[in-house]
Amino acid sequence: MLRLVSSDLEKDTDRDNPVPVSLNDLLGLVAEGDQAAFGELYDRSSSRVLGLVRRLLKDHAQSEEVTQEIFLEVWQNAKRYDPARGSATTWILTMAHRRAVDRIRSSQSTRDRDTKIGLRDMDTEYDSVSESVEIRVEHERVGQALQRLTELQRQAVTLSYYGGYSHSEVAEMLNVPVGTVKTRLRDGMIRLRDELGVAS
Amino acid sequence: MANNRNFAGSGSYVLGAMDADEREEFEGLLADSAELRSEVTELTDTAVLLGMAVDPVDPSPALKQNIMARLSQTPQLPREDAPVRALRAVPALEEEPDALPGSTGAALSKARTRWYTRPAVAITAAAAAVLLIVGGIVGTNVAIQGANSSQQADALAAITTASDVQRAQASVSTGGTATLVWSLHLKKSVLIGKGLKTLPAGKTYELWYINSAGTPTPAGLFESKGASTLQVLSGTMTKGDTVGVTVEPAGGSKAPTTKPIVAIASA
Repeated sequence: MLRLVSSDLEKDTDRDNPVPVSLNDLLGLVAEGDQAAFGELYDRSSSRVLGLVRRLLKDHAQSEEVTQEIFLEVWQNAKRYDPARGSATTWILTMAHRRAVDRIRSSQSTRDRDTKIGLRDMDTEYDSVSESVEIRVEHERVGQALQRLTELQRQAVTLSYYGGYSHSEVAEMLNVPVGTVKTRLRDGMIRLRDELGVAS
Repeated sequence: MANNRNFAGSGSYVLGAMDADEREEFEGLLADSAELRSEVTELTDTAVLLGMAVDPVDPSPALKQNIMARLSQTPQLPREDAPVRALRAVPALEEEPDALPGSTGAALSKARTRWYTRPAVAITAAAAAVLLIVGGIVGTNVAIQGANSSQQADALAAITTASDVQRAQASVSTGGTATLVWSLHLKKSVLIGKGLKTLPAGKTYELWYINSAGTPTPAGLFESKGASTLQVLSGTMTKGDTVGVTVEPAGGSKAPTTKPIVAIASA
């Protein structure tokens, strides 16, 4: 699964490249201070990063700012990337998600968002307009796996990951205790892990 | 395992649903349990699949140019297991301006070697590297003090790499200078004091965010022990805030009891 993920982040536009270099390899070069390798890493992963960040932040300009912070952080921390702990894709997207969430939490205006709007938007939020077959297949696979969760699990997972809401906010929105949200998030993620065949 | 209450937060953690304190607490649990780490690794990979299912968005060409242009000013942090120890090297580094942060690997390893030979205060590799980043910004090196140094280093790294980082300097009425580095997006700031007076026992420096209406909010305490000090302010910064420092009785005050020795306007 890890291997699959690591190749997935890359756009499938490198078929002409006779020597395919993995994102992990590129990150290894970046750790040595290789700016050209960093440029390539950026080309291959930035649309994924921006896509995810914009999903959370909505605002395009702000999302680009956060994407800049994320890639500078990738550059800054490249030596600390440990392949034994996961693929480069996992490392970069996990960092991206965390920074997007940080931005939401640090911005009072966004923080004061009407939780009702978040809840209303949620059901229509999971749709893909991508023309890439690969992305649509992945999208569908994840979408189907999400359908296997209970409604409360699915809402809690979706609001947290795609909405950037904290578990206390989710608890308020769904009108259940925080402890229940935590349990649903964990149960939901374990179910998704099993449905999607993730194993380390 | 499912009954272990330590595991209860794993879903929240990988989905980013914890606040900063909870996250930190959970990471403490992670460090202690291989079993919990294994679950979190799998759930993190699962969360990444949620991320992979999102439609990609192409950034503007200018974004890449901006980022590439900043690389040479952005030092790479050393590996976490790097043999970095101590600092107190501040005076030594100042004696020799050449050793000051050129943000290059050479300067870094040179500085690191020097710190290593002068063990005093244990700091993390992150903190050591951040010294150099700050050095690049304010032209001096600073001592990161106290048990929170790693947390301070993280906060400082976030502020200094923010796209909207700004700084302002002012002199302190009792001697020395203070530099404020802040990011309004992060709503965070850090105060770097240079040559501040060491206070007598029973006194402490206290930081304040003063809003445009002139109302001060406590933003943490600090001491000055060496040539330089660094303190990430607690609380959140609001646009237009002025950051002030007063001398207060040990333990701090809820409102300033003395005149500020320095005030730095961020607007």
